Amino acid sequence: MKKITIIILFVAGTSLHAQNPVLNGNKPVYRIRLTTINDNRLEGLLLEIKDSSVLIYPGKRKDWKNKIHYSAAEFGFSSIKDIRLKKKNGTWRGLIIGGGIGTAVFAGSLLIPNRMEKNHHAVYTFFAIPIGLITGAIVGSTSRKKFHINSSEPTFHEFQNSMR
Amino acid sequence: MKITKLYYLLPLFLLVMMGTIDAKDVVDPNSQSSRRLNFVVSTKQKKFDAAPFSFQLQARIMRLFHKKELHLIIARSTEEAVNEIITILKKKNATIGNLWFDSHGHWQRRRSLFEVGEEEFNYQTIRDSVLTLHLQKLAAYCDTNTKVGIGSCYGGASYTVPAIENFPAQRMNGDSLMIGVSKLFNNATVYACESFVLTGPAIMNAGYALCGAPLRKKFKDPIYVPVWEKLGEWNCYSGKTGSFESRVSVSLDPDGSIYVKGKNYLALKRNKGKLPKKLSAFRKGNYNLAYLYQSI
Repeated sequence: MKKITIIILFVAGTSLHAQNPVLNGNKPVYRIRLTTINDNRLEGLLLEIKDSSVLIYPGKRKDWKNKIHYSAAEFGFSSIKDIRLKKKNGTWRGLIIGGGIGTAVFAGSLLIPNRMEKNHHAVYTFFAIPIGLITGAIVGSTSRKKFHINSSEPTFHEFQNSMR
Repeated sequence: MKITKLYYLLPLFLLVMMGTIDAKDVVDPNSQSSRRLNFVVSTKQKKFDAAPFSFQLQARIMRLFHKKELHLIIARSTEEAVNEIITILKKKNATIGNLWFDSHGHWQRRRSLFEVGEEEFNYQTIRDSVLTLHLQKLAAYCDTNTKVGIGSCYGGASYTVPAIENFPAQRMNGDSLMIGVSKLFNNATVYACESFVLTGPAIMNAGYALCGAPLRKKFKDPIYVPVWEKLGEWNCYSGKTGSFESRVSVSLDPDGSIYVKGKNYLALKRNKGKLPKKLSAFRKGNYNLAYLYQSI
């Protein structure tokens, strides 16, 4: 029994250790836009956050999907000014959340009919869901996490910790 | 990179028609030998690409009016292109007057080059007898009066690409490529551009359609400054004399022969004083460094 527990703990421990927060299975989760200290720009997919650097696949999701091999670009914290991250499927997630909120508003108006006049109810019914969907999609597609590294090691570690 | 403007597709036919009428007055008499044929070699595209599509379309239209001189070769490889050219030459008992390679240039590879299908020819590969095996067969049909045009952007670039991040400064070696091409084609005269080569409307109208600057933001980065400074500037290497001439702008005649313009593109009245203004608006970060990593 003891042996089994140890084995389970070991397996769980190693799997946790091997888990890369920026990869979902084999697919990169984040699209990265890195600005170097010289104001140059690199856009790609975030592969790994190391102790003092980031590893980037210099292509698009489509290239990754088609297994196009590009050599990864590595940038140390000393050469990084800004990092902007965009999560995969942000638009869809925004659509779902916005649509959900819109539906909730619509459902709320149905549940409490006495509080509203009839024409108000019609307006809410007509606009709530599409407005929710559109707003959600816009917010989802434009939202980005931004980190100012400015060649500073502590700031880079903050970024590293926030991604765990 | 070959750049295309698509807004002209509707009036294109009219412009080309006008071009056939206007350009008859400016054709170089030296290239009008009855036994010389002009060839335009372009790559057969797997996916739609606006630049070669536009070029091929315009060449096809011009071929309707110049069937005797102009031949458009759309091939997947040099082997295919060369076989087709030799078949035509043998059939008509002719030699090559003008040979134009329509191709993309790749700034991210940081060297002058042109491509036929998936075969890349740069200052190194042009010297490789195995890689140029098929092109060598054309030497028998070329002489010092043959003109060869490298129609790719930066095909004749002689400057050095500035260093950027982990990438050191690197010479483009377009001059070496031109010498290599000239030797390959029996000391022919080679023309290649220092800057961008556009596929604008009426490309075979002996005008300035090949010259100009693209609109995309990525080209407005300081890394492109050497290219912009030489807008519309073409180099000429004469295999006969073994010397370079920094020519003014080059164009294509309606029959596919290479035509050297009398004035540089930047010296035109409409372009005077524009370049410094444009260069001052360049910003770092417009160019994505990922392109450079992709070419490693």
